[in-house]
Amino acid sequence: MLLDTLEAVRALLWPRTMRRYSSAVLLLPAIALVLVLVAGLAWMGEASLHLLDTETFDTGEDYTAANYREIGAQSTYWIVLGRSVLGAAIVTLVTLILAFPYAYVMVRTASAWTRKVLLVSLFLPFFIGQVVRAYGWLIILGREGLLNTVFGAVGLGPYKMIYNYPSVLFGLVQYLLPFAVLLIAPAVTAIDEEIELASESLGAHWLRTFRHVTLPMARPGLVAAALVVFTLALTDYAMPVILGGGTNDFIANAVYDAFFRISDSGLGSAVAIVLVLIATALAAVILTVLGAGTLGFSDERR
Amino acid sequence: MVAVEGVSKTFGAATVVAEVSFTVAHGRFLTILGPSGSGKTTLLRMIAGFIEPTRGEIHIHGRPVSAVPPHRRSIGMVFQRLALFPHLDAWDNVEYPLRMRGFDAAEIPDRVAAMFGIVQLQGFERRRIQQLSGGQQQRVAIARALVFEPDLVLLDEPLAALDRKLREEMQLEFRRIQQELGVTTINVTHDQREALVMSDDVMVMDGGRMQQLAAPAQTYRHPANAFVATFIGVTNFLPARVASRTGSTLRVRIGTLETPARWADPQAPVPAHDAPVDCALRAEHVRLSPTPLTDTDCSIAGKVVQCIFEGDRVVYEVAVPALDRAAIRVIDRAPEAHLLFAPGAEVHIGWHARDLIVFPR
Repeated sequence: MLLDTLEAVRALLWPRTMRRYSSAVLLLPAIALVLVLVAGLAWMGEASLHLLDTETFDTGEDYTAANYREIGAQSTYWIVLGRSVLGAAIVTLVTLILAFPYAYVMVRTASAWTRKVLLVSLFLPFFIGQVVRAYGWLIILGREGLLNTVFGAVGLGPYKMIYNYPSVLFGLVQYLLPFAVLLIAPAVTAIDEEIELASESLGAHWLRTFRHVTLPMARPGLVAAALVVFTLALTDYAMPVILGGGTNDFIANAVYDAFFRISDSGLGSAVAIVLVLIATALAAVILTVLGAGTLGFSDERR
Repeated sequence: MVAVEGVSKTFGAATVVAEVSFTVAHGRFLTILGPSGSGKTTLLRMIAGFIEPTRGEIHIHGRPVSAVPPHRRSIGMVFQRLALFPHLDAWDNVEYPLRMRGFDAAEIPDRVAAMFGIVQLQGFERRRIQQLSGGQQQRVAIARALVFEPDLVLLDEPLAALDRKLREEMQLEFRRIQQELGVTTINVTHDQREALVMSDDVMVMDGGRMQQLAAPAQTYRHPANAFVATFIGVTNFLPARVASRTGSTLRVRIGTLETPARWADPQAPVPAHDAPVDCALRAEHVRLSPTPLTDTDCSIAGKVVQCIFEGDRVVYEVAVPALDRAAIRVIDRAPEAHLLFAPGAEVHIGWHARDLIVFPR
């Protein structure tokens, strides 16, 4: 009786003829979210075309490319840009090299105990959050930190292990490693162990099996991991701030500074737009070089 | 030639393969037949080199191979799930072992092309694996395992996943290729039909132990023990007692029936009077008649309980009050008899003494 009533109400609210639109309706929230993002981006694009009047602190009415010219003219921006792109590239490479064996052992190990330990140590950092983790590194690596205390006890140091480029990259690798492992693990799972055995029986030792079978077959996971790690590293804010201490800013830090330190929303927007364009272009390059087909976007299904 | 000598494998406390010894002569086709868990796959993987034996040694062409890793053994293996490389096309799959084994680059194309001819897959060289049918994938896997002319080919139930018609076709097809190339082959299966159809020799395994190694017909007609008798063919098992023995003639008592029978192993001593034994009686050796049988060594009355038409044969289940066992399975291949007996029909069954095989309990 109750179900009948509910059914009647449902029929009234969403008649049978509307059924074929059901999937479209379910998509609406996601589309709405994306639209908000696009709208925000459009607003920033528009804002980036107005110059801030430094005397009145009012944004000008006229459209101008002056903000972009400013970015191009200032070597600081070029340095920050280069530092971010190079850093993201190094972080991606190192993270993938570390993540692949981790994912491989986690998937292939015969011991349930090993798998559990690897999984838990992977997820634990997720629960801590990026900022707290970065501060954790400060405690360990700082001038008065854990490591320097230990070094001091044996008469070494103190060493300067933070507020430099390597420490920022190190923090990023540590932060992004779980993402990479989680994206690579399913790709390794999809490789039937029998295929690796087959390769061995056909005359390939493990290194050649890895090179000719495992690696190419895990490519979808590697491409996905490379994309995610690269974009997250390129656009990161917290690690350069906390572990770089202002000495090794990335683009996101420059955007923040423009918006909130010098209150120039036009310039900040322009830097942000430049970041979006660069990230998009480099993601496109990664996809082209490593193949979008491996992500399942090609016409030919694997 | 392949020689397996006293090979055992234990995982912890469990013995998976126990003291197995056999040899396969050059160019022969041996099938290891057994139910799942019989240790047959473990045995095959030890020969391939993926698992190390706990005890014993395996020789290939007279060389002990314990210390030889899989990629240095000259063994072509066709895997259960085929294990073709999905990121390579058919040609590159077949070419793979030649490249890995350092064959002369100049002769590789000819070898690969010849192999595509042997497995009759010309025209499919550049297909991706996913674009090939199940049977075509089998052929690629066979070509890949044979192209580098291995000393030995191992088949790990690669045909099990195919539907029946294609499976039977591929059995004959592989047998043709194997004989054409004269390559020594060890096949593993749980399918008795496949074992009988394809092999020169059949080795029956159960519980990690070798039960019998003989030619297919021999395994079928003269099972070495009760397990082999049950595993191959449709067999009735009748608990009995020894009634009398005079020379080579043995009489057993099953229920109230006393009848002549054959002692399974002429070399083994016949058990004492009244000793409990098991009698195996193949379903197709039981005769079925509306009237008492006169040309068999016994004839007893029963009633048809069930009648299953299987096309080329009819399987009856006959309840026989005189025997302790409630129902005897009978396979009737005579086409004129197909619709003779319906459930409930009063019938007489009988058999020859030579078909009632007696095993010690």
